[in-house]
Amino acid sequence: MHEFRPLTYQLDNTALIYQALVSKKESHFFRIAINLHKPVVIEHLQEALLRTLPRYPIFRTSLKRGLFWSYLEENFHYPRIQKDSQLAMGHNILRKHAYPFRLVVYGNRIALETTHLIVDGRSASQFLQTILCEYVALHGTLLTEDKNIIRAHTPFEEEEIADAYKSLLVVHHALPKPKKRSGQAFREPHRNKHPFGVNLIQYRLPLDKTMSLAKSYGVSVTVLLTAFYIASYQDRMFLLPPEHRFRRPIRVNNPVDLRQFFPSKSLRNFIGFISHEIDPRLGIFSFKEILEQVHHTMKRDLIDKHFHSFIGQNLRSEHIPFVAFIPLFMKRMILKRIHAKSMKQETSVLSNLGKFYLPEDVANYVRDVEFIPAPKYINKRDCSVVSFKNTLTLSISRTCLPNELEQFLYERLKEAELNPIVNSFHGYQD
Amino acid sequence: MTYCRRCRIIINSESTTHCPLCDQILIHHDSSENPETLFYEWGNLKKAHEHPSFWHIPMPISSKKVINTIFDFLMMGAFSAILIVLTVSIYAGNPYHLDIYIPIVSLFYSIVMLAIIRFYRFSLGAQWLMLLNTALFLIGIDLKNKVIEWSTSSGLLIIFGGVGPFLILQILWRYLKIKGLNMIAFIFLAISIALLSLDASLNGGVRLQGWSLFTFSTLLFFALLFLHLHYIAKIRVNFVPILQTKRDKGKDKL
Ligand SMILES: [Zn+2]
Repeated sequence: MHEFRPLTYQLDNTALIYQALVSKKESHFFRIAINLHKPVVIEHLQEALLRTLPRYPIFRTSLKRGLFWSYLEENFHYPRIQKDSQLAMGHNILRKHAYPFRLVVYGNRIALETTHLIVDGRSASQFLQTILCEYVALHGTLLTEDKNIIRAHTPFEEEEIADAYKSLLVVHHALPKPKKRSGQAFREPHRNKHPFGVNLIQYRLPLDKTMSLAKSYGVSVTVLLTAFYIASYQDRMFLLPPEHRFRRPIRVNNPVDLRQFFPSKSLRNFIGFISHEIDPRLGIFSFKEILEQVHHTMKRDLIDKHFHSFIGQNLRSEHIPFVAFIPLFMKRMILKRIHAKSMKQETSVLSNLGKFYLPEDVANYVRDVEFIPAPKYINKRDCSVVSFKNTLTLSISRTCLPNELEQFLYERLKEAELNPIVNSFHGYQD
Repeated sequence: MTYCRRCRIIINSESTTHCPLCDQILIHHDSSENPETLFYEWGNLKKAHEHPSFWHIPMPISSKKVINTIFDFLMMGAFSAILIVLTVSIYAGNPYHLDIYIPIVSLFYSIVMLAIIRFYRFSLGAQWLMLLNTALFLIGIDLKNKVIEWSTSSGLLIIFGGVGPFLILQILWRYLKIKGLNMIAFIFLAISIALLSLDASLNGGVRLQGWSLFTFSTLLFFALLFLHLHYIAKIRVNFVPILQTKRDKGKDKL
């Protein structure tokens, strides 16, 4: 008799850390939300999700734990849309047949929450684009073909579910080890909220003004915002008692989409990091100086050679033969320690998703887009940026209660005459 | 077409009776009510950042905290007072005999206890204060009530003989520069002294049984051995790096 055996997928290099971190309560979900002009029609959205899901096999999975490794297994359960009740970020993905993403709806807002277990921000936004296009198509709008958008009927390519890191495997043997980062970085000293929860503050900036400001400094928007972020971290350090004030450097990381250097159609994780550092022990940096530091670090490191060594090291550690025979629960313990150690080396992360692309017909339905980072349990704060039409949305999710840093950032943005509009919840602002 | 008021979404089919998201029963309104304008009104809520409570300023003392603490104190005080009164009256062999001063003293005792726990968080000083407080409490009861003789019979012996050595050990942990084999010796000493005093308190404070003397002598031998190894033979083993990693875990500052 023919026995049905579902397909399985191996976790990639970034996902390996995340499978160790997820537990019943903590699912490190980030969120991309879209605010429409009109309330969501639930049947159309459900239909759009059902149409889209078979096109993305990596989304149609559930996380399984084996004896030695976690893996993703095909999941054929009915995907349910949920009500967006709070910004708790995620659900118990260890449940049987739970999807590694969820689509939540409230009023005009469609939000996709997913995790680095399966995809990175770029691919998640592509998934959401597909859903939105199907949704609009179901409303009766005829959409023209757009080669930047994957539609449900676009032919599937085998490369999309391939592990993009593995394609670099050929070169990794002769690579030198990356330079060791020096010591711990400054982290938010406040405690996590108890019971655990996520708070959000968003700044909506006019994109054209921000662009022109960046142009006047001769830098990119990412560099400008990173400089603002680092500057407000430096401001925040002044609030500490004098003996703790300037004891650690500030280090903010920028995730980089590696597809621009290593052309790949993979829809799974493919990211590298650039880290910017200032050391206030040496003296207080002015904004101009911070901007220069960030700009030149970016210039120096935004090159494929920089990422080669990191990827090489990560892949090499994956292939140590002894490691394969450690049971999963011990692996998870080790990976958690490694993760905590690497988290302590950075202050925060600012990830820029760039312009959220939608075809003209679909864009008419959409008011703005938000990109909310996953809660960070050790660094307490994470920042992400996305822009759509003429709005640039900068969201900071934090897990501690006090928000001094956000206030400083607000003042900084206000001083630069960017007129930020502030939200502490997402969705409604006119 | 209908809509769910709770989720603010539109549901196209007329036959649906429950909202697919929140399972609320749907009311099929007459078509004059346009959901889009209805939801739009709800959207005009007060903007959060214009509200003064938006910028959260952490206060050292809030009224909520104060009230909570007071209630904690009262509840704990009442509870421990009842408990102490009960035990004392049972001990005195007269369940219906209640003295008025014992509840007051025990209330005061429990409040001081709780204050110590709240403000010092089981630090070394807090532990000493708690010991001292308990001893004073026992002495106070003894002085008032001639029937109860807790402190003179065994209470003080247990407190200062049984728990005291461990507190001295903690002080040694903190202030000794080299923490090697000598610390093991001190642990043995503390255990043996504690056992000795517990044994004494069990027998009414005078006579000792054989076992505690035996353990005392053997542990004393080991303690002296380790002390010899550390201070005279100068075999210096340092536990500090091992302990440091554990202590760093708890300290999550900066
Ligand atoms: Zn509902």
